[in-house]
Amino acid sequence: MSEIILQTHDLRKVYGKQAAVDGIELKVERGAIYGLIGKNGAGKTTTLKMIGGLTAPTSGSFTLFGKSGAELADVRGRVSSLIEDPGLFGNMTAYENLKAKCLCYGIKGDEYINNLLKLVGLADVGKKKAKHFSLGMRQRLGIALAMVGEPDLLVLDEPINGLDPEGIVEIRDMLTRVSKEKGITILISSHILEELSKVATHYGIMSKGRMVEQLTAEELSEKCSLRIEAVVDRPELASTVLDGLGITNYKVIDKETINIMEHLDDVAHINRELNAAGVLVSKIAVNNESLESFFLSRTAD
Amino acid sequence: MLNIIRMELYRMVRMKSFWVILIIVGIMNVISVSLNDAMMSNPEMQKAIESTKAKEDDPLSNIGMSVSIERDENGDYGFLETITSAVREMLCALFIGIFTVIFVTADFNTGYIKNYGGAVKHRWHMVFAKGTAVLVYTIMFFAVFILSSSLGVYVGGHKLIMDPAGKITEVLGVQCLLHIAFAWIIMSLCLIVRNNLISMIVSCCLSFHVFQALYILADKGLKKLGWENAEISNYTVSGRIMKYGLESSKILGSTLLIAAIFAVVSYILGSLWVTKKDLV
Repeated sequence: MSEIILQTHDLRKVYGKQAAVDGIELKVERGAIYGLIGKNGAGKTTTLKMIGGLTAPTSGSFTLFGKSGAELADVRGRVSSLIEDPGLFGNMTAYENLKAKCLCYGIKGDEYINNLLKLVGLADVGKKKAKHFSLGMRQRLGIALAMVGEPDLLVLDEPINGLDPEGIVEIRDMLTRVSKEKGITILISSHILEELSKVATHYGIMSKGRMVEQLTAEELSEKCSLRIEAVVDRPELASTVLDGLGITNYKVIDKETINIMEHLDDVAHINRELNAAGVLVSKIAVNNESLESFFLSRTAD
Repeated sequence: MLNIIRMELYRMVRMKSFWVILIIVGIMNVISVSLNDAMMSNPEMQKAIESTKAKEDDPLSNIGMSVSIERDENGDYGFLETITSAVREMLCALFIGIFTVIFVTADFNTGYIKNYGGAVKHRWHMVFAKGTAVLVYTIMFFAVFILSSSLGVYVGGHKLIMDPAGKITEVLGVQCLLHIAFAWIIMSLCLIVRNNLISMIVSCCLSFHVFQALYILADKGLKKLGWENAEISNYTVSGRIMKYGLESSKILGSTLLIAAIFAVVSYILGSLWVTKKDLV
């Protein structure tokens, strides 16, 4: 199992009487792209703010790179974040905004800054002040700022907000690349599961300040893929029949449901063979749960 | 921490207001000092000065700002008299306060603080870095102010009579320290209220002696409680800025103490607040 670099323990944040985050448990493995999904107001941003060191938890704790409590100060520099809107000095250029943060991190050299600008597609903005940037350009610069110092954990809150489709693809590719090439772990939030599903390796679904479900990309894909869903009275006997038909990619979900992930065009044939073997089939159909409906079913009020 | 100081200095010199305030103050100072002669010989102006002098016993007459430089019997300008006449009227404090508010609230208002605030090992480092930048600005402001005042005397066709070096060091050193303490008070206020409008109003009120009325009320209350010689403004940074001039060596120690206490307390309060409160 990979090293766990971030783990929260009953993390809570209360504003007045309202619990924005209500005792979440979160585990992030090194090198993962962990997607935090939830509706607006689910507590994603507050969670990220706590992990990014901008807000203190009301109660609970978290471990970062094996450190917790007062020792967290030693590893804070390994975490970088882009929370909500990118924080930029409007009267400065993209280069100058990056230079300020580089100075803060003790990083010298124009080449470093120029490479970052190239990485996020802002190499050609020249002397244009940040206040004249489009929303997408601001977002790109925010991501570049978050990349300064090559953090071990990159915390990104809705980073594709405001980007055009081309920009979304570029940022998505960039995140996948830096995660693979530089081994940066990324904790990324979004309310668009479809987009997140293209980059994330792990997911955490939040609703009303709570963690509803954590799953890997494989588990999600399994839950959302096209399949034959059969409701039968004797799943063990049904398994034997499926084996006899040469079907190997199937899964017994519970004491009456079997999901078959292959031979999707042979529903009638499978149904006949099951009946012939004495298995009572009360329902058999090709189903798939879209990412959207999967997400909605988990976050329904 | 040195890195954060570098960043703060970098963003300070990149701010438009940094240059605008220095340039405006420099130019206006040259003009106003060089025209002091004409202003002093204007009968209307003389009447106003006489009237102000007549009301010197009334502490509320200090509200606002009126700068006039007195010349020696030959019509020449004493160096310290030229500089301190405006400094003691809180002209420098006004501009330093304005810049401090703009500078300190900038990274909160733009949200830039989110880019590095979470990664800083100790948040008091950020406050120290801001304080250092403001200190550098105060020193630069004084340098510009001294140079432009001196230039104004020559532009007006007069001679500048230098005071003894020791006296110059003492008076300008103390005034500079008082202004740094003033800037740190404003910095802490900005960090605590995180609202540039309120901070700017308070800063300007302090510079225009508007709080003098509050001090007088407090003095009256203290006198009723039995402290006969109560004079709150005597224990404030702004009060000492107004008071400290050529003949103030007797209060050098207490003035330095007041500047140090206000600076340290402001810094500690600002640091505690920033450490305990959310950054966004």
